Amino acid sequence: MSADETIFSEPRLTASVVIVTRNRPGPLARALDALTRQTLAPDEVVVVDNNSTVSYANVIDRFTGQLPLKVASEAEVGIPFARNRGIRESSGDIVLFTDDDCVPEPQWVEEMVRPFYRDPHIGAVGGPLISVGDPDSLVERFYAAEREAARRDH
Amino acid sequence: MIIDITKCEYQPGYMPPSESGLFHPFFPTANVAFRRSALERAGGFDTRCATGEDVDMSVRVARAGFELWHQPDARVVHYDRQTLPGMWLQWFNYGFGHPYLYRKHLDRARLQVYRYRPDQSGSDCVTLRCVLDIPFPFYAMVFLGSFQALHLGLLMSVLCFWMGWMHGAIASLALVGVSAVVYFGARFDFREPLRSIGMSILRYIAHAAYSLGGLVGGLRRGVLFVEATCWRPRKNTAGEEAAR
Repeated sequence: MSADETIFSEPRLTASVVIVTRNRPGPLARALDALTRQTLAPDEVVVVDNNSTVSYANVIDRFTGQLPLKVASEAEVGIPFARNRGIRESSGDIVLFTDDDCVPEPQWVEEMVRPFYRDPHIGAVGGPLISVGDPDSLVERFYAAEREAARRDH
Repeated sequence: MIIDITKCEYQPGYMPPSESGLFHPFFPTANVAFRRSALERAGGFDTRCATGEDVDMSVRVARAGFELWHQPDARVVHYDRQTLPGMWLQWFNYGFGHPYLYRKHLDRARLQVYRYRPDQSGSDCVTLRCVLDIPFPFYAMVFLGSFQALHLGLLMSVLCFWMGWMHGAIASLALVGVSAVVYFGARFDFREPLRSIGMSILRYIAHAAYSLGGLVGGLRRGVLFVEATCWRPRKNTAGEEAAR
């Protein structure tokens, strides 16, 4: 991994993961669990509770020892408000966003941070979203058919 | 403002610059990272966005002089339980959010007309061609495709019948017929006619939700907004994942 040595030579960029959540402790636990299994551990994980009416105590307790977890709350309901709260509450040089119904793959943090080392002009890095729905549902079959048709077009 | 890189099969690398003011590459916030200095220069997420705050942020980060980089190996799996009402609401909301972004990022009122352009590079990206761009008394973005022609024809035929102008009505109905053949025929598979019809209905519902969202959101923002109903589907599902 000589490439990594060059990439992660000083100054190291610190990484904060920000996840906004509202009334979805179960899916959030799945996302946080994925963050405990990263090839490059995040320096900070900020969970922004956007005015939930259900308790996150169990999830927070479970992951407090496993992750550098910080919990913030944003009373104003709305994704942009909550994400801005996450930016303010986080301190990393790189701010990574994902959602509470998502599961980042193990090399996610490492792959997201890597490009920022190669060029100081890179301001944003994005990767693919792989949607996993119920493959038998009508809507999923529709999306699959549209993808197939798109492939035929080319 | 609808080019979503997750639907494009780009290699790792810099995202191409925007070809027009309207359609800009962007990263959805379910899988994106920002350099803090870029966020500070761009100024945080716009809290006036109903949807599309991620589009807005990518546009502002790029305009602040930063590059957008696509990293295909940084993958995030998104679990969603799609239902028909859920699909309707999702596309309505996407459409609803666009007129605000359009108006925000265009420096003055213009009429812009867009057409679909098949992508030449072989990628999965939606590309559009601006066929008209003129100063106008108000903000207007009109996409012209078979879906729009179909509804324009329907509207004109009703008006013509109402005014008793039969030649006009027949011409309008001819437009409806041709557009319907183009719209529904593009995805028709004669080996599976029933499935094709079902899928066409779903596609029509999604486009109707998207268009209605754009029109309603446009009314609210003082923009005539006819959505670009040529979106590509999402890239992967469980089935394809298992197959890989």
